[in-house]
Amino acid sequence: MAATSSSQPASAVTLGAPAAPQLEDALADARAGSDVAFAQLIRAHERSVYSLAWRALGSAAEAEELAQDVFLQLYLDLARIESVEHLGHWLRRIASHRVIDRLRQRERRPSTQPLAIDECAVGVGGLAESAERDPLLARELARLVAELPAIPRLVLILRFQEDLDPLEIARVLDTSVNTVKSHLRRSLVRLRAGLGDGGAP
Amino acid sequence: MNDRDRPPLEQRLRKALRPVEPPAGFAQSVMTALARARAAAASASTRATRGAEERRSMGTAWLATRRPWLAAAASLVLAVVLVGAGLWGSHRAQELRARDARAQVLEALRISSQTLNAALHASVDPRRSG
Repeated sequence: MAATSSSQPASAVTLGAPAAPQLEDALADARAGSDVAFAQLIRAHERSVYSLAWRALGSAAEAEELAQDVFLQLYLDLARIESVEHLGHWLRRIASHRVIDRLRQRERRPSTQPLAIDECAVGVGGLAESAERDPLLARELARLVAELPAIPRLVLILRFQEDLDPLEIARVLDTSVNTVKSHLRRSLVRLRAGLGDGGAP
Repeated sequence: MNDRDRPPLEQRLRKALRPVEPPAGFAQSVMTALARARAAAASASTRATRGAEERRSMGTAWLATRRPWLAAAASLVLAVVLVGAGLWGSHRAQELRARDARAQVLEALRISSQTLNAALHASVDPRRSG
């Protein structure tokens, strides 16, 4: 697990991730057909895509399958990826939309397993600090996030896991900035109420 | 821990929702799946090509073994068509000739009838005959 400072944006923290210029080279090489370069691109973005899917779906197996599908689709669409920034946006966008599709499929089939809240209680990275200080609070926070409806949960994950601003989240989810802001506001109110944080900012 | 000691909710969320590591060997498993997908695509393509070749070669073989029969059948069909066309043409010409003859007979009858009428009127009223 990468040791990360809290001031650093989460999306920038990737274990062993190559620097941006190296990634640009890897992207160019992957487009030219290099498997080694494509594997490098996967390693640079696997945490982001997998975590997004895992937190939104609450199932490690489903998250792994979805992340794998996203990267296989990336391989097919490599020619359309213009830059490393575009690649990050593309991956979040495809992963988010696939997550939404899966959650809607679940809604249509209510007999499937509910969110494994305990499993997605706190990410490995989260346990290091917050759970050490107050594991019950951290677990409760993760449970409340897992209980949010699909889109607000995804908005929260993109905001606090991927460190995207509302405009970027709106672009990823094909929605308006006001809708994103509204989801964020209401989700935070709900989380505060759930945690009993009445006076917290 | 009381409320004052707690960091803001946003900060706690950032910590709680920090990215997690995928299972070990995830990238490798994607590359394996990719290789499998490529192999399946290549195999499907080869099968399709081979199938087309097989169909083509089967068609050629089928033609080769049946060529004399096919030539005979084609000649027979052509002969039947030619004879049929000849018969139809002759029949058509005969029909046209019969129609012309009938028209001539009708014309002759019409003229005869007019002549007889004129003769009849002349015998009844000599002034009209002039």
